[in-house]
Formats: sequence, C-alpha cells, structure tokens
Amino acid sequence: MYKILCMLTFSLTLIACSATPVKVDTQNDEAPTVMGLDYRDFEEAAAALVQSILESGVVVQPDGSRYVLVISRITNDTMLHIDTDQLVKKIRVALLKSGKVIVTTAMSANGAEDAMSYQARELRGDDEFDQSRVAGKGSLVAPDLSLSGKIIQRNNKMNSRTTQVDYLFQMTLTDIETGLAFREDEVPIVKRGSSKTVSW
Amino acid sequence: MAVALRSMMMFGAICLMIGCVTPPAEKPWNAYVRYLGNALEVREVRSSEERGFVVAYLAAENMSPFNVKVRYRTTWYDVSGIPVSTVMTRWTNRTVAGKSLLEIKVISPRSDVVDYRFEIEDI
Repeated sequence: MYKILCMLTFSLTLIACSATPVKVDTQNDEAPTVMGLDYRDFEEAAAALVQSILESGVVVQPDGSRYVLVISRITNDTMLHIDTDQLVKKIRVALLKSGKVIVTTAMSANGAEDAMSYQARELRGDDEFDQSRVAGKGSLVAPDLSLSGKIIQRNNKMNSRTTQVDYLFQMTLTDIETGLAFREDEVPIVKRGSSKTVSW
Repeated sequence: MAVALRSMMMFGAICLMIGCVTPPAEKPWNAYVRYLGNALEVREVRSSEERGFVVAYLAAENMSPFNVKVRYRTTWYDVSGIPVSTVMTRWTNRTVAGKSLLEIKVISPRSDVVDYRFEIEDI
C-alpha cells in the first residue's frame, strides 16, 4: 500500500512538472524577449515603418485614389533563418487597411507573386472556358511604388558575459516612374543579453 | 425681502447668461489618456488632421528624479466607437529619465478614425 502511494505521488509530481502548452495572448504578451527576433519585434518594426510611411504623406493621392505598390526585394542579412514575409505581410496589411495603397501580386522582384494572374490568361482561346470571363489583354495594373528593404544584424561583445545584438530594419519606398526614393527609414531593435545565448 | 429676491433673480439670470455664452469646455485629458500610475503627469494632449489622417500627440513629465519604465499604446476608434484592428496598436516600452518628458506622436492607421486613447502603464 505504501509503495503504491509513493508511486502515485511520484507520478503526480511528474505530471505537474511537465510543461503544459499555453496559448499566448499576443495583444498583451509580457514574456521576456529573446536574443533573436520574435513576432513582437516584427510587429514593432512594421508598426514603426507604416507610421513613417503614413506620416510622410507620400501614399496620399490628391484625388483620393490608391497607389499600386509592388513588393521588391527584402533582404535578410541576419544570421537568423527568418522569412521576411513576417515583416512585409504586416506592412502590406496595414497599408491596405489605410485605404491609400493596394499591392499588386502580379509581379515582384522574383516574378509574379501569385502566378495565377498569368496562368489564368493562358485560358485565352480555350473553348472549354467562357471567354468573356477570361482576363483580357492590358488589364493588369502596373505599380506606382516599390517597397524594398533589408534586415541587418550586428553582434557586439560588450564583455566576456554580455553580447549586444543590433537588428536594423531598413525600408525604401521608391517612385517607379522617377526612380526616386520617396521615403526611407530605419528601425533599430537592440538586444543585450548573455553571450551564451545563440542569436542565429 | 423684495430687494433680496430681485437680486437673487438677477444673479440667477446673469449665471444663466454666462452659462450660455461660455464655450463648451474641451474634453479633459483623461478622456484621451488612461494612466493609473503616479510618476508621470500629463502635460499636453492634442490632435490634428494631416492629409486625412488623425495625428495625436501626448507629452507627459516624469515628476520623480528617477528613471521610470513605462509601456504605452494607442487605440483608435472608428465613427461607431469600435476599436480599429491594426498592427500599430501595440505596447511599446520606454524608459523616461527623471524630470524629463515622455513625448509620443502617433498617426491613425486609417482616415475614417475619429477618436483615440493613449494607455500608459508603469512597468
């Protein structure tokens, strides 16, 4: 009997110690930051860059119409394996919601972002499809502005135990017609922590 | 007695007139700022419209001689009083040096925003 009780207590202790997954409230996440980049850093950078674009007024057309934006190259120059869409998608969504900008997926720095715009055009002349519903020639909208950027990482050893990691989120908004950079900005996110923590 | 009554009526009439000509008081800061701490004192809150967007500015002074760590965020409301969902409504941490000013300037995420709230918390 005593042995059973001991085993039961031990089992319960083990169960209590196992980490139960919890869903994070992303609106109010007070967990300590990491030396790498997490969703909060991308949100912070995206919010600052969107604010910079809206403040500049370069996306406001005098007649109230929308600018067409194309996403150019966003370079990940960090030691982290990150998808730059974590940043870009937030900027795109915010700019779309602003009502001033609309993003084209018919082109990007690496060809069409959504290949379907072109594949659907291959249906021209196909008798199986109602040709009146097939996109006609000259119906794609060319972009007015291009968004490019870079994420840079620099590690600086402060002493034997502490390392500072500088992440720089750089953005350029270019007017395609003139090639001029209408808006440029840089958001630094700097972290300082144990040198034992790996930031890649 | 009649003189006193007449004086009271005149006083009442004057008060009513003053009440009618006084412009409506501006919304107090606490209508725009929610701060339950006591280290900061709100100095100024104002907003303007720039190219169709609402730009809000807040200045609060750290009254203590010590650094104060705070976090803040701005929530934007549409004409129905519904909060606007945006990546720009997020907590931002700041350290305000002793006896110095915390200044926040934000721009609305959309042009149909009509109201806003600053939330500041000590951390």
